[in-house]
Formats: sequence, C-alpha cells, structure tokens
Amino acid sequence: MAGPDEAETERAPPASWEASVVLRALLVGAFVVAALAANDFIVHSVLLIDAVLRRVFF
Amino acid sequence: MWETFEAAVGFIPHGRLLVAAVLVVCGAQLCAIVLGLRRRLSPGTQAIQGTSLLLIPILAAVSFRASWITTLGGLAGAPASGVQAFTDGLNGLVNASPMAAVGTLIALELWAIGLAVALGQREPEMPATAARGALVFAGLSATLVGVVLCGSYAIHELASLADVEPERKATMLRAALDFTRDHLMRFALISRWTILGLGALAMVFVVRDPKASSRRALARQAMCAAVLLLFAAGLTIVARPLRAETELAWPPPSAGEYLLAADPITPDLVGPDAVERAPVVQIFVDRLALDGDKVTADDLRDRLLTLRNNFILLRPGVAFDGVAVIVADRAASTSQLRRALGAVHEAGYLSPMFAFARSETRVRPLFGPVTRVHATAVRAGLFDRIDDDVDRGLGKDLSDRGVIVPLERFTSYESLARRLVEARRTGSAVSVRLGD
Repeated sequence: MAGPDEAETERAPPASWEASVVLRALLVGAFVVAALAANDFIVHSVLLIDAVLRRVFF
Repeated sequence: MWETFEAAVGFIPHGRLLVAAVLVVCGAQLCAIVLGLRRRLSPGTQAIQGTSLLLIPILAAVSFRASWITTLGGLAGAPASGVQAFTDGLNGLVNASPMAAVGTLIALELWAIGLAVALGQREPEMPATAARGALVFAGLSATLVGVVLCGSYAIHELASLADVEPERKATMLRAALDFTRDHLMRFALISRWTILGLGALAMVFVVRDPKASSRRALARQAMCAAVLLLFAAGLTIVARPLRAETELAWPPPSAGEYLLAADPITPDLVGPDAVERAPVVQIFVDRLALDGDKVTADDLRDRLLTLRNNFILLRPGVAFDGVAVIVADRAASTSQLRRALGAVHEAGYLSPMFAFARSETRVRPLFGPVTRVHATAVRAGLFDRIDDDVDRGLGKDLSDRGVIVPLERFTSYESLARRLVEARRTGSAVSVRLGD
C-alpha cells in the first residue's frame, strides 16, 4: 500500500524526460565532485605528515 | 596482527578514542542503512547520521595536534628526552594518518549507501540514480590502499633510520619521503580516474533511462546535489591550506652541515671545509659559551678537558682528533679570541674548525617562517711558542703546519677569518699561532 508521499508523488505531474536526465546527471555529477574533493582532502591530509617530516629535517 | 594493531593504536594520542569513534560512526551508518530499508527515517535522524561523520576527522585533528606538539617539544627539549618525544610524536602522526583515512573512507562509503537507501524511501526513481552516484565513492579505494601501503613503508623506513649515522638520516629520510609521496600521488591519480570513469558509467545509465521523473522527485534530486556540492566545497576549503603546504617544494637538504647555532654572527665567508661533529665553542663579544652554555675561559678549558677525557675513555685505541668548532663573532677582538683559543689549546684541542654560519629562512604556507643554518669551516692547527720549542726540541718536522697565521697581527676576527680562508683555499694546511 502506497504511503502518503508516494501517493503524492504518483499524483504529481511528471517533468519532461530532458529535465529528468539533466537533474539526474546533476546528482551523479555532484557525487563525482564530492568524491574527487574527498580524494583530494585525504591525499593532502596524509601528505601533511610528509611536510612535517621535511620541516623537521629542513 | 592484533598485537601490531594494538601497538599502532598505542602510539596515537587518544588512539583508543579514535578507534572507538570509527566503530561508533560506522556502526551508526550501518544501523541507518538497516533502519532505512525497513522504514523511512526522519530528517532529524538523517541529519545526525550525516553529522556523525565529522567525529572521525575532528578526533583525528585533535590527535594530529597532540602528536605535532610532542614532535616540536622533542626538538626543543634536552637531547636524551627530546629524541624520545620526537620519535613518539612522529609515531603518532604516522600511525594516526592511515587509521583516520581508512575510518573516514569506510564511514563515507556507508553514509553514501545509507543516503541512497534513504532517497529510495522518498522517491521510487531516486535509488537507481543515487546508488549509481554513490558508487563513485568506491573509486576512493585506490587512495585508501595507497595510504595504507605508503604509511607502512614510511613506518618501516623511519624504524630503519635508528641504526643509521646521523649525517645520513636526512638524505635517507628524504629519499623515503619522495618515494612514498610519488606512490601516493599515483594511487590518488588512479582514484581520480576511477571516480571519473564510474561517474561516466553512471551518466550513461542516466541518459539511457527512458523514464521521466516527477517534478517533486527532481526537486529532491536537486536538493541532494546541492548538499553534495556544499560538502565538496567544504572539503575543498579545508584542504586548501593543506594543499598549499604540501605542493610547495622544499629546498634540498644541506648535506654535512650540523651546526644548529646561528649565534653569534660570524664573518660572511664560505669556508672550504665541511663542519664536523665536535664541541661548539661560541665566542661572543661579551661572553663565551660551550655547546650553548655560558662559560668563563677557565670553565671552557675544564669542560673541554672533561669532554676530551670522556672521548679517550669511551673510544679506547682511537686517537683523539682535537677538533673543536669555533663560532666567533665577526666583531670579536684579538684579545677575546686569544683568551678563548688559549683555553681550547690548553685543553688539548689543537685542530679547531673556524665555522661560518649563514641562516636561511623560508616562509611556508602552513608552518610560517622556518630557518636553518648553512655552515662551512676552515680546518686549522693551533699552537703557541711553547709547542714550537718542544717540537723543535723533539726534532719534529714543522712544515706540516702549513701557512702560519699569527693571531697578534689581526685586530678583529673578521680579518683573521679572511686570511684563514684565503690561505686554506690554496689547498695548503693553515695554523694559528697564539701570541704570548
């Protein structure tokens, strides 16, 4: 049995296919950007230890 | 394996708390996934689930800070306790890094899955898109592997430095750091391309999906994308100072220069010889110091004698080389030099190295100004009239003294030092003769 939100969703008018694709692509793109930012953050956090050691032996 | 893990945790300040935080946060993400599959979670619960992710980097930052302070304290402390504190600090940094990275990454992956599940509860067409999108976080796996491998390698290399001569440590460490940095960057590059590849794959599925979404679903997708972009912007802002620091190259290490003292200001000269490890006698215009401790001329002689006796006791069979490093103020007068060098001579240090220090300061984006001392020297002999008489009486060849530089002919250390450098640069030996 559908809940109130799902029923509301079903009743809501569908958007165009083009708009749907653009918004879904935006979501996927946002995931990609977030993953790239996380990758960058992790790498530079770890490289900070490298910098600390180089600072000590400067 | 468990013992190794326990030892690693033991090195990390607040290590047990960090492990507990990783377990609690990942457990909370798992619970959210399970609950999300059974019923729709309230926005408040989802907010707590997302915010809890911050617990790991916050605790990691606290731990890093504690290790960093310990490391700096080790550098500033007494040699015996300082080395231990320095090693403890580095161990904390090196062990906390992979643990924090692994914990954050696993929690992020679980959070992404939970987000996809939660979105699926809200909109029937959301799970596929969100799940495909969340899949790109799997691309971080290569970086994760790189962090663990490079961390292990760095720990191994640091441990192996214990038996290495001090003068080789900096070069070896730098080589190890270059190696780990290059490999970590390669793993990061693999991750970057994997993320882009998985993103492109998800895009293909999105474009080939023939269904149109409802306007309400689109609004939620847009909101979700906005949250993700804000998350990315936050990480980028936090990483900016780290990136500025880690991407700015360090100048090459100064090989064979051990002089840490930049005081007093020596003549602006470059000597032809490398400074060796030996007691450092500092001659200021108003005082004397030995290895940084203020001394009188008599104290200087007595302490040098003690050091000489210790050398002979600790190295039986090894000839005492009589080397002392002289760091003298360029404005020091001949009489001040005479007094200090007289004490050095009386203690039996007959091969002084007159050192010339130049300090170099670099401003780093995160560390601020950092300074090191470049030092060169002139190796010389030291004798007085009595040595002359004794050596002549013994029939010794005095020509090996090379160019003789009488101290009394110079009015300041600046002019004496220039003469010593000139004479030594011709390739011959040089000796300072102390006047009466």
